[in-house]
Amino acid sequence: MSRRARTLPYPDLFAGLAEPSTPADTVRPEAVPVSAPSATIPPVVAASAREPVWVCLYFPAISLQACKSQCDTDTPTVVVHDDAQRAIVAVNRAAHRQGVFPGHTLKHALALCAGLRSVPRDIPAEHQALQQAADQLLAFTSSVSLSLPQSLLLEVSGSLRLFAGIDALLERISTQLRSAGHHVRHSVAPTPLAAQWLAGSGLSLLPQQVVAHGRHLNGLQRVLNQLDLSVTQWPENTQAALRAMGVNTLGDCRRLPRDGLSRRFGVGVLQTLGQAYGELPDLRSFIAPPEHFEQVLQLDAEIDAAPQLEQACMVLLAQLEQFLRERQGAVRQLQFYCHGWRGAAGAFVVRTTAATFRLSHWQRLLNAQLPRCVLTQPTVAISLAAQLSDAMQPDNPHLPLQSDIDTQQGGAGLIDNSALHDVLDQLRARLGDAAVRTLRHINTHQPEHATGLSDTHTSDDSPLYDLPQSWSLHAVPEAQAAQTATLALQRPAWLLQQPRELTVAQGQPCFQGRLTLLHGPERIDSDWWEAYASTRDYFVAQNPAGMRLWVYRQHSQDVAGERRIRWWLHGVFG
Amino acid sequence: MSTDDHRRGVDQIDPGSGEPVFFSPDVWRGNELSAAGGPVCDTGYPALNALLPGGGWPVTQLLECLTEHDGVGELRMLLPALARLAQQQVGWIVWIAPPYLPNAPALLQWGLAPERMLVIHPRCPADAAWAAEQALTAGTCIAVLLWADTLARGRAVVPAMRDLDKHPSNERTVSMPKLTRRLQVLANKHQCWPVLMRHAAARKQPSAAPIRVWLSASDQQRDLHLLKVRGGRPGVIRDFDAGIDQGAVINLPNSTESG
Repeated sequence: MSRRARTLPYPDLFAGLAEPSTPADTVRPEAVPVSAPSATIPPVVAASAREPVWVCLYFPAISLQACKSQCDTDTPTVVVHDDAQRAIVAVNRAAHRQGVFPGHTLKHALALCAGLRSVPRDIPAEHQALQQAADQLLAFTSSVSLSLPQSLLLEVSGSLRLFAGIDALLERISTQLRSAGHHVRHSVAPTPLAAQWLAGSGLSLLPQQVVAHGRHLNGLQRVLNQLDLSVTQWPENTQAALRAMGVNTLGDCRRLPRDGLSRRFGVGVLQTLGQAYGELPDLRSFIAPPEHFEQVLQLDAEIDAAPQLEQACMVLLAQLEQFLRERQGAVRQLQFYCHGWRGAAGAFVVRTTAATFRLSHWQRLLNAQLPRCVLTQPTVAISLAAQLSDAMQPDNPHLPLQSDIDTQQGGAGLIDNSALHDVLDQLRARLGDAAVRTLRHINTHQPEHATGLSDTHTSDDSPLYDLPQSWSLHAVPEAQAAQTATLALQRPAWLLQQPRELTVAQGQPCFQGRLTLLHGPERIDSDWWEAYASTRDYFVAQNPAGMRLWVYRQHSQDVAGERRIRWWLHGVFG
Repeated sequence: MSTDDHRRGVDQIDPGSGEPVFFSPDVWRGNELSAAGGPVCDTGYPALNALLPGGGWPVTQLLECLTEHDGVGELRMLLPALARLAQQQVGWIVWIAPPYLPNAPALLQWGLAPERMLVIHPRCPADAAWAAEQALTAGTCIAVLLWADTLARGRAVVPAMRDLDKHPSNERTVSMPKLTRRLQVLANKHQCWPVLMRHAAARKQPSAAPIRVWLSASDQQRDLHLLKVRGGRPGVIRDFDAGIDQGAVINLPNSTESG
């Protein structure tokens, strides 16, 4: 319901223009379920007829913010638009104190303040900063719309109950933005354009009133009528022509005959006005949160030893954690790239067995990994890329299932799976993936294939290794236990990955002395479809040193076609 | 038995074991005293249980196992206890620098789930020691088995080791007294059982391990020498694994030479 109300905020406009507009709290007939008696519905239906509440956040200093790295607060600094006029877009506090204002030309400003620094405007960086702020605001509502160059529009009617009212919500939004270093002016209005214009001007509506009355608010028209034409951002010549006619405010504009206005200035002018006053629909597209995280951090100084990168990495990881909390996601793999003046300086990857969103977890892995990383040249910037792979597993303490409690014996506690993964990740971070493996049993009769070493981390979604679904306290699953009980064969605890050929002395195999065969033979055939089909006779043997060995005998033909018996060592009974 | 006998702590000789039986609560035997120290785990071998003070391996103490060669019964000695521990606790059993690959079907036969094994092949002794410490302090490992000599002897025959050679090799070594002392301290602190495998030549050297076992084997028998045990007396068990056979032995007619 709320989604529909957002995407189509003025349904009654389409119902018929002749009808009087529907009051906010009336029951909309199509929203009532047919079977339900209407008396039980009101609170729900009131939500469906909810009026949109638009918050506009205006970032007056976003251009200054975007080139923050080049500005310090003490030097008077201005941001200059890069065109012929060199108009000033933003000024910092020190420059403001000298009497420099946005809108001045650079020449004018230099006359006022001799030691002025000018920084060219960086529009892509501004957009990026705005986009980042928008991403953060997704924590408050899913309807965030970018209104370039320096505003964000939020539709918050769905979030009011969760955040305990509009005032508390506005407070939290400004706190959040202030902590991110933004200076923001905000205004609340029933239509997006009205909110935007009001934020740009400085007039405001009472947020509580807006929530209560929506676009039927009495004050809306009155306040909008006072606004100067310049807020509309209509083309310069349109504005100039209107001013020449003595039309300076929106109220003046509204009093003009509509047909004449549209004939002279186009339908766009009427349309904008109608949208601002809530008479015409104003459809906004909302930002879609990204599926991957990518962030670059410029370092203050060149760094030539990997361990010193930790601070910078932690800043990036904190941003990643924030991103994941907003997206309710988790990642398995983090890629760090170190950039030097002459291209890439190094890269390293932090992997986790289970997807996680916790900063503390990565920090431990990073500490294990950084000393191993080699930088080929001094690093000036570091970037972090991560792809969302899983849904976030919340921090709930492990809730044991009844079956877990039943199998729990003595003092043995239940351990969360993530705790089991922690040690695995940590060992892998320092020793490498190939050095830390888990085992699994493969159900085959061929001894060399029965033991599987877990594969190392893979990028796809296949399980990284075969952990049992639930780590119950029974060491061996019952099905497997039953299977092994019928398999009453002697198997060595150690297996050689490559069988080793044994020397033969007087027809007897030898391994550090002549072998005595204790049990056997047990014949094991290879699969018939394999290229080198072989038949092996396995024996349990013992050498003079007391080692108990698993050896096999294989018949083969040598080049001369002579039949020959060869002996191989395949396992050791530990 | 009369009340006078109780008061005087009169002994009887147990007809089964030949050991004296004390009825009086005033008489404390030395091995019972030391058993109060920590949890123990049944070894699976009655003769060995009888020698150990608490009636089993003390799983919060470092066990040092000395062998002449790999495969003379050290796993056979440990696996029953490990299987029991795995029944009681959830967590990994960590194998650091094992000489060969553990065989999954055999582990299943001993009652251990292969999925719980963590096999680690470190590049250098320092990495092995680091991995052991991580595993011991993690709180999610049941036991840590460390083969101290495998790296030094260069006998780790796992293909993955070849990939590791590409990395700059680290030649740092760890002194054995330091390693044993550290493992013993960590074992006391955390609920994890460290087992250190060393070459039998080290049995003449002192060690911080409270329990040291030397397995000497010949083609006739395998003897378990309990060289040192805290709170108990050293001893020897002849053919310690004679009664226990892994699985059932297939009794085929002895036609080995005719094939």
